[in-house]
Parts: sequence; structure tokens; C-alpha cells
Amino acid sequence: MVGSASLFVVWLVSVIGMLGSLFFSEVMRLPPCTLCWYQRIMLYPLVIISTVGLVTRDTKAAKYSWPFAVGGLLVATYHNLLYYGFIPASLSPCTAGAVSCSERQIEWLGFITIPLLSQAAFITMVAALVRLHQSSKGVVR
Amino acid sequence: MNKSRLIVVAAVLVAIFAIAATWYRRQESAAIDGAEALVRPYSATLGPADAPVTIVEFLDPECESCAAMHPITKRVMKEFDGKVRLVIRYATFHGNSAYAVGLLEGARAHEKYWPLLDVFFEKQPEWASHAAPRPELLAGYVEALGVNSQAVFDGAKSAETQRRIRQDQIDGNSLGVRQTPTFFVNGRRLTSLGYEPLRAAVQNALGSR
Repeated sequence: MVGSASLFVVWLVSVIGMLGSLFFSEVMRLPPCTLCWYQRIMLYPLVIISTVGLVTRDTKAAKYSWPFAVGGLLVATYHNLLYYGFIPASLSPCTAGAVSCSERQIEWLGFITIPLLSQAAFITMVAALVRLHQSSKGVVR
Repeated sequence: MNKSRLIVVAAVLVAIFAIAATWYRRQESAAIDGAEALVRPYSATLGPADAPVTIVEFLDPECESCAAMHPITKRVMKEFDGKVRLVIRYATFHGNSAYAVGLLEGARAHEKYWPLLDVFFEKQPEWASHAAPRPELLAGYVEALGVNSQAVFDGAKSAETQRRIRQDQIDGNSLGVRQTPTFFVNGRRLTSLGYEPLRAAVQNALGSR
């Protein structure tokens, strides 16, 4: 049952990501920057898609998850490059907004930041989808 | 994946979220010890200095919710007449906030602080529309007060006024003020806005003495 286990990973990570991001914005009242919003747009549908996939035991849910997981991974990667200064902030699309995407709002244990958490979540979900894809092709048994 | 197991995991995650949120809010509303950052000697105050309850309000003249809360705060102060002191701090989040705050500080020297604050909030729809702000109207409100408006304008630009705005910003940051208005009633952050929460918080502060 690699299929449903992988889909479960997507579900678990997306639910934790959703609750975590809502905690940051609604409980801690940290305003989300523009790039964070784009990552949310990619993350939240994954909660719904993977839930329906798991409940109906439909591993085709993975197909619908791909665009969101990869899209989110791209935005998260861009955000981290910006955040850690690999891309100059002057090129960032959101410095004029209320919150700069390169402003550090949280730094746990000296390295855990919100964009890093997002990046880790999307990498995990894409990896789970790759594994699910391989298992459906019979590569993983 | 078993459906019931899925529901259990989801329930656990949501429960963790709810517990963490409750805990965080409780921490946030716990009384703040750093009273220095809460009230500065220069801050504008209304009501008796030795009042048992102090409401500290971080406000922004350009913020709609602040305008909406303003009459409510006054109403609560009237109800607990003589028992409440109001301290105004600034959180200048909008484009013309600092300018408006400067004029308020300028008017303070001429005993016109509170009337001008009332006018700024009343006329807010005219001068502080987000689509088309008209900060040029502010000077007119000052002139209508019937004081030496040039002196108010000079006071607005003074180094002392700018220093106060900066200090309020620093204190607001250190107290976690990210939205306006943010109220502290005897050092406890008010977690929801409105007449009833504010009245209850004042009542509570009086009762716990």
C-alpha cells in the first residue's frame, strides 16, 4: 500500500502546513507577505484533494496534486532564494506592500524560518508524489 | 488508509492547534511587566493620573477601527467616571498617519489635543479614504480649531514630536502591536474589540484590585 501511504504523507504535511500557517497569521497575527499567499494558494487545495483521495481510496488524487505541489515548490524555492539573499531584494515583487517577503518574522533555533518550513513541506509532498508515481509504475514494491 | 484513523489524526492535529492557540492568546493577554514601554511620561492622557485603571491605546488616526472604537472608549470612560485613565500611544501604520499624529502633538501644546483627535476621527472618511487620501484637508481642521495654527504646524515638525513618534513605534514593536487599535487595560492586552470587551476588561481590572 505504498500508494495510500504516500498520499497520507501529502495529506499529513498539507494539513500541518495549513494549520501552522493559520496559526502564524490568525493567532500570532503575523501578516502574510505576498509570496506566502501564493504558497497558501498552492497548499490549501492539497488538503482537500488528498482528503478526498484517501477517503475514496482513489490514488488518482495524486494526479490532481501534482500541479499544486510543484507550483508550491517553485514559489517556495523563489521565496527562500529571496529570503536568504541569493536574489537581491530589489527585484522582489512585494517590497512596496505591507510586509516585505524578505523580512524575518520568526527564527527558531537560529535557522528555522517560515519560508524554510514551507520549502520543507513542499519538498516532502513532491517526494511523496514521486514515490506514489513510481509505485503505480511498479518500480517500488 | 483507514477512514476512522484519518479522522483521529485530523482531530488530534486540530486539537493541538486549538490548545496552542488558547495557550498563545493567554500568554499574550497576561499582564505585561515592562510598564515603561506601555506608558511614557510624554504620552497624552485623559482622566485622573491616580485612576485605578489605565487603558493604553495604540492608535492610528488614519485607521477606521480606531475611529469606530473612539466613541466606545469615551463611553466606557464616562461609565467608570474618574476611575479610568486613558493613555494614547501611536502606531503609525498608514501613509499619512505620522503627519496627522504630528499635528495632534502640535495641538497638544495649545490644549486642543482631544478636540482635534475627535475631528480627525469624525472627518476620517473625507481625508483618509484608502483610494484617494486627502491629507491636505488636515491643516484646515487645525485652522478651524481657532488657535495659532502656524504654531501647531511648527510643533508638528519639531524634533521632539518626531522623537515621540519613533519611541511609540519602538515600544509598539516590543509589545507586539501589529494592528490598531491595540488596547492594554492595566497591562493586559484586550483580545477582542468592542464596547462589551472593553467594559468587561475595565470592570475586571477594578474587581481584581
